[in-house]
Amino acid sequence: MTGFASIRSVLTLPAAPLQYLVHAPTKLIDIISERVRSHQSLAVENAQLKEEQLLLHSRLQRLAAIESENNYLKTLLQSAQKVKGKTLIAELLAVSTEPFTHQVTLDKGRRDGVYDGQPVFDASGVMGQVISAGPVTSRVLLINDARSGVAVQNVRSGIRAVVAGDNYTGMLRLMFVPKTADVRIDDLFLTSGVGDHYQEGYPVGKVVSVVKDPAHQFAEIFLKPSARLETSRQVLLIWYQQHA
Amino acid sequence: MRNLVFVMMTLATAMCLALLPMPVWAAWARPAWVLLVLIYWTLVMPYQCNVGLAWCVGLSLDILTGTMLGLHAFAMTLVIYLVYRLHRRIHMYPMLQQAFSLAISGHYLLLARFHW
Repeated sequence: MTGFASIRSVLTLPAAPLQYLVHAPTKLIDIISERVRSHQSLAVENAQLKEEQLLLHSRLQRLAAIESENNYLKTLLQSAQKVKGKTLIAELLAVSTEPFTHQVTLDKGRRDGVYDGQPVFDASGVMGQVISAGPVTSRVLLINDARSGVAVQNVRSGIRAVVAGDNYTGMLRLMFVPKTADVRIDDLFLTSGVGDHYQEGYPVGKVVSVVKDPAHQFAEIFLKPSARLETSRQVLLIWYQQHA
Repeated sequence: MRNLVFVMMTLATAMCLALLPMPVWAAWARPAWVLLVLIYWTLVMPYQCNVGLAWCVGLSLDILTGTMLGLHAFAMTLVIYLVYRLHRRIHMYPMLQQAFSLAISGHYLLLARFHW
C-alpha cells in the first residue's frame, strides 16, 4: 500500500473505538438473549447440534480423503493450485448505513494479517472481499454491491460469467450472458477461480429469474446470493494461494 | 471553551446515531443526524461553529462510514456555508418558514446518498 491509501487506512484507527461503542448495545442484547434461555430449548438445541455434528463429521471424513486425493492428483499434474489455506473467523462490527452501498466492517485488520482483496465467506457461501484493511478493522465489499464482481461458473452447464451486485434489489446479476446461454432457474453458480480473487468452488448464488427480452442484447439473469448477506454475524476470512 | 466541549459531545453522539445499525427497510428513514446537529450549532453560535468545523466533521464521518474521502466533508461544507450566510434571516423567520429554509440540506442528501 502506498501514499494516500495508507494514510486512509491509518485514519480508520481512531474510528475503531466509536465503531466498537456503537456495536456494544447490539452485543449486549445478544449476550442477554444468550443468558436468558430455558433449559428445554438448550437441550433441544444441543440434541440438534449433536446430530448435525455427526452428519458433518461423516461428511468431513469423506472430504478429507477427497482433498488428499485431489492434492495428490494435482501434484501429479504439477498444478500450482492446492486446496488448503489459513482461515480466521471475524465478527461483523458495523454495516454500511447508506441505502445504496453494501459494505460491512469486520473486527480484524492488518494486525491479524488481513490484506486488501482477501475473500470473505460465511457458512453458506461467498460474502465478498476486503477493500480496505485498516490496522485493527477492515471494510468488506459485499457481492451484492454494484461495484463488486465475482467470476462464477454454472455447476450444471459449466458456463462461465461474471456476477455483479444490484443495489436496488440486493440480488446478484449475471453480466453479458448471451440469450442462447444454457441457464435455467434454480441453477447454482460457484466461484470459478478465474481472476484469482476467490478460491474455486464456493457457492455464490442460485438463479431466481431468467428474462430473455428481445429488446436487449443480453439475457437478464438474477441470482439470489447463497450467503446470508444481511444476517450473518460471523464470517470466515480465507488466506488464498500466494498470501497464505 | 466549555461550549465547544459540549458541541463535540453532541456531535459524537450524532455520529454514534449515524452508525447505529438499522433494519434494511428503515435505512431510508434515518435522519442525517450529524448534519442536523451541525445546523443547530451553526444557528446557535455561528462565529464558533461554521464551515471549518463542518469540513472536519464531514471528513471524520467519511472515515467512519467508509465513503469516498471528502464526500460528506464537501456536502456538509456546502450546506453549512448556506446556513451560515442565511443565519440572521433564518432567526427572523416564523417557525414553519425556518423549517422550510432548511430544505437546503437536500443538497447534502443528494451529494452523500448517491454515489456517482
